[in-house]
Amino acid sequence: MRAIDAVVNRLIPSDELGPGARETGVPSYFERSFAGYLSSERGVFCEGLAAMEAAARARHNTIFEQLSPAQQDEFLTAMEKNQVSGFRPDSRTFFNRIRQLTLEGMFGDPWYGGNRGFAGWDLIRYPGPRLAVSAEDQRLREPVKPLRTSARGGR
Amino acid sequence: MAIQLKSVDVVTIGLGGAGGVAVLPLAQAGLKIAGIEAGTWLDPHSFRPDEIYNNVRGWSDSVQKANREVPTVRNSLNGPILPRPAVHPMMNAVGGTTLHYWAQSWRLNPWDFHARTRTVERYGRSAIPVGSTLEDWPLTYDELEPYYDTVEYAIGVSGKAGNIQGRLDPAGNVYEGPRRRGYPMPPLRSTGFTELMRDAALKLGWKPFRPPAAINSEEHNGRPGCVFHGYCSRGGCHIQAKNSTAVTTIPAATKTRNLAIFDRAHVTRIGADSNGRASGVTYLRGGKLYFQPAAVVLLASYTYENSRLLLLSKTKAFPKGLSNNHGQVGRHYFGHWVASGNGGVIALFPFDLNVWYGTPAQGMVLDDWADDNYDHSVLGFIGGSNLHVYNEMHPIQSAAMETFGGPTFGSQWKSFIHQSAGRWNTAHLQTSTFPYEDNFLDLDDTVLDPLGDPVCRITSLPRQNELRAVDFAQRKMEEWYMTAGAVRVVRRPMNPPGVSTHAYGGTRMGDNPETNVVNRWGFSHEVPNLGILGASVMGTSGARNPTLTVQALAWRTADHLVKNWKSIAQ
Repeated sequence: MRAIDAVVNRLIPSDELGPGARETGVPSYFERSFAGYLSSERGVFCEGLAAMEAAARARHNTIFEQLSPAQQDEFLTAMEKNQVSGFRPDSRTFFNRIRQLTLEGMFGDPWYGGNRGFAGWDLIRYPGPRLAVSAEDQRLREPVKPLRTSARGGR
Repeated sequence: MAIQLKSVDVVTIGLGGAGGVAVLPLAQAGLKIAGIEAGTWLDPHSFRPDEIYNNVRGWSDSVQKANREVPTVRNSLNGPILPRPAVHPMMNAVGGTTLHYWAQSWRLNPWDFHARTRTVERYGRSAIPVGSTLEDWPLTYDELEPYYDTVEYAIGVSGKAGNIQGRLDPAGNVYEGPRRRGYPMPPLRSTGFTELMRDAALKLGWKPFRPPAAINSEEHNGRPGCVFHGYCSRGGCHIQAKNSTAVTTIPAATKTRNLAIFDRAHVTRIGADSNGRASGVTYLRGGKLYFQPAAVVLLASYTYENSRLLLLSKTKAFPKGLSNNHGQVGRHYFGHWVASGNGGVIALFPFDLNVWYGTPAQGMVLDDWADDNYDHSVLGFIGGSNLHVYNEMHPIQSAAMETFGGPTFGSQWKSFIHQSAGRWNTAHLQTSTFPYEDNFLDLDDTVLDPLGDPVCRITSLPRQNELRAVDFAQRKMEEWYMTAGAVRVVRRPMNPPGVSTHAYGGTRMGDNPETNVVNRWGFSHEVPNLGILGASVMGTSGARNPTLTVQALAWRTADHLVKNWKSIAQ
């Protein structure tokens, strides 16, 4: 799981805009998903991670987690551009999958493990789910007061 | 051996948007109905504002029959099977996908029923798309109008009429066919964003209006008006303001005591006797196999499953599958070309849109570029698109937004979505789609469901007519967004539709048994006591959502059965 930690940390890093994916529990979103809903995809996903580590070794003689942040970003960009070999079917597909799961963890309900403290929703200025919405909350330009609640009691 | 049950008057396969409507007129007429449904009742208390549960995982704890038989898709005749979608877009439940649909409840426009004749009249025979098997419907808009009206009032539809008995009202859709009266409820309230888009459309000289929806805009039939909480798309309504058949026609039918519902029941075959009549259905429930005999069988599963069940139901009288002696089952299939999201037009505005909440039905639409509402002489295509902008955006969906060439991760991307996630929009462009010779459904022997039956295979090729029509609609949409103040707009190319919530054909309706499976009343040409309900009978899509037309046709087929019971049931 250290490789997932390292990848999500570069996809959504901590910075002045707030905590990143690692700090808000996104790795535990991966862990819980692959132990449950996505269990049938676990094997394919692990193959992807193994391909990533093998490619990192081939390029830099070390695993992804050991690369510098700049090297990691460069590596991820190469994966996204489909320039890294050894993946099935290709590196772009794996990049898109890991990015999609990162977004799900970061911006999904905190009950699923990520988005701790509603940091993801605050980042994109999503004002949170609510059971009823007034006309005032559907005006242009007017900020809506955030309601930091989980539909399932997550935090 | 299947356990033989006592015969009933009518057995329906599926209690969703179509079957769930048909059972009401049947039950009211006193017919005894066995309603076989793969899913079960879902509890509104379990409906949550939860994007992962609703949208990402597709209600994963509901009955997953559809997900275990997702059709395979290929975009060329001998081409590879495309990657399987993560979840089937339809669901199994009492009420079916009307539990989580957008509830857009459109009537088709008169042109859609006669696209072939009107096209030849106005543009000549050569304007009919090459390779298309387009036919006029065997009925007119005016013949379907009473049933549209009945269903609008039976389930409850909100909207603004644009044409009441020929009197036009520009607050509604002036392009629609004449209706006998207005909607039972006013349209859903507008929002800052829909008003912005309305003003822009008016500036362009277009005719915007608010779309019709099977969603209460005010208290109706003892259920409350919509509270716009923003989890309507693929979400169940926690206050039952969405007029799913699960809260409207199905409970009304059970109240007559003439409808018995058998839930969690998986229909495996439709039986036929040696005289070529349907004898009943075989289904699996709780590990046991049952045979439900019936005087009349109504097949109302979904477009893919309608064709699949017929093709799987081989008997002596129908060696190629039930009602398929003319080889028409699965033919004239088409998925709706709907340009949206990654295959649509995406706009970025310089201010917050606040479209997080509401429902897609809370939108602004226009028909100026739909159907044959403009001159196509030099355009190289027929048909057109309904342009629809709307509310409701979920956080994961919103963060996954188009980056307009910028980075897709890291601090710079983070800063981009911080500002822009609440400022982008994508429209829903529904384009007239037509049937073609080489677009069809059949069985895929290489992919089996858990019972060992092949799944349905979709063959859906790129089509010049639809590609051009989508491109035209995207350019109009770009113009609309720019006029409304967007700072960036991109148009994304669209691929042929795959597994779709708007899937048509396979059991097309028409007078000619050589080219159609069901007659003008929805009964099989070959099997007189087999009725087929759903968009699988539709020969054109129109530029709008199919459900209300499906429901009007379902009511009409049921009504025909009641009025002709003796001759159909013998």
